[in-house]
Amino acid sequence: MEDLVELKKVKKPKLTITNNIDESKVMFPNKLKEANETLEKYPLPADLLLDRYSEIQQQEGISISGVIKRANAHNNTFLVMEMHGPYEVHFNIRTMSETLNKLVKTYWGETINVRIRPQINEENQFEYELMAVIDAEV
Amino acid sequence: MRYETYDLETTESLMSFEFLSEGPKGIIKKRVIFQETGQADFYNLAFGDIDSTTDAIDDKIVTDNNDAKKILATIAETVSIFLDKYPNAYIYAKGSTLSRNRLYRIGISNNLEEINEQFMVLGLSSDNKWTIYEKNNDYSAFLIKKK
Repeated sequence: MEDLVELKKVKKPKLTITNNIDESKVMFPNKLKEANETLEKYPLPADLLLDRYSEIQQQEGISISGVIKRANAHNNTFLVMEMHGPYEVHFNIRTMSETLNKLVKTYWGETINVRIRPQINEENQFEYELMAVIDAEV
Repeated sequence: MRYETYDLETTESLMSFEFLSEGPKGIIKKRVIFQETGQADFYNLAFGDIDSTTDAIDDKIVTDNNDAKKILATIAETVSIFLDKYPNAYIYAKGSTLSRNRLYRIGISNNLEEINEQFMVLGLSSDNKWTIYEKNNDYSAFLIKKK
């Protein structure tokens, strides 16, 4: 009951959009480095990682734009590196053997836009399935 | 949110927030930042006092302005606002000191039922595994995501 009374009294904070906050500086570089190291060293279990995408995104896929950096003919995967601010984010993408060959021949080292579906592979690792190549900046 | 919060200023991107802590030590400007990490959709939550002359942030300073609950509730509010805009984001949070980390833990534990209605909270346990947050467990870092 006390909580209910308190709920009624407390209002949402006022939120004002401003240009006065300088976002150009990288604050707490050490803390950010530590966060990166922790997330890299102790990744989320694959089932929890997949949960980061909504049901719709798991069905329809997500679009990314990046450079093909690596291809593995043994398991038909290739790696696309997308830049997020100063960071490289790697997406390991599974496809068909013929598609992989074509992609590597045609778009190696170029920025491509692809649609990929997040999924868990047989080793319980997080990877993506290629759905479509949207375009490439040649 | 059951607790009183401070009014907030933010940028268009909703990645930086500022508010003024008011108490016996005066008015102190605070900033909360959501920083992109090297992993897509993972953001680091950084929080600290702003030095009004240098615009630098000190995340270890203990201002002791007698408003810890209100500050914690305000940080929680920024998390909620940020996750409304970026629903796929995971927010990584770790207190800059052991006591601040403990404060985060108390804040989450005391409001876990309410938090769990909207968010998924994970903790990095002592064996360095991310697990669903449970009360009375010790965690060195936290991840928060909108359900």
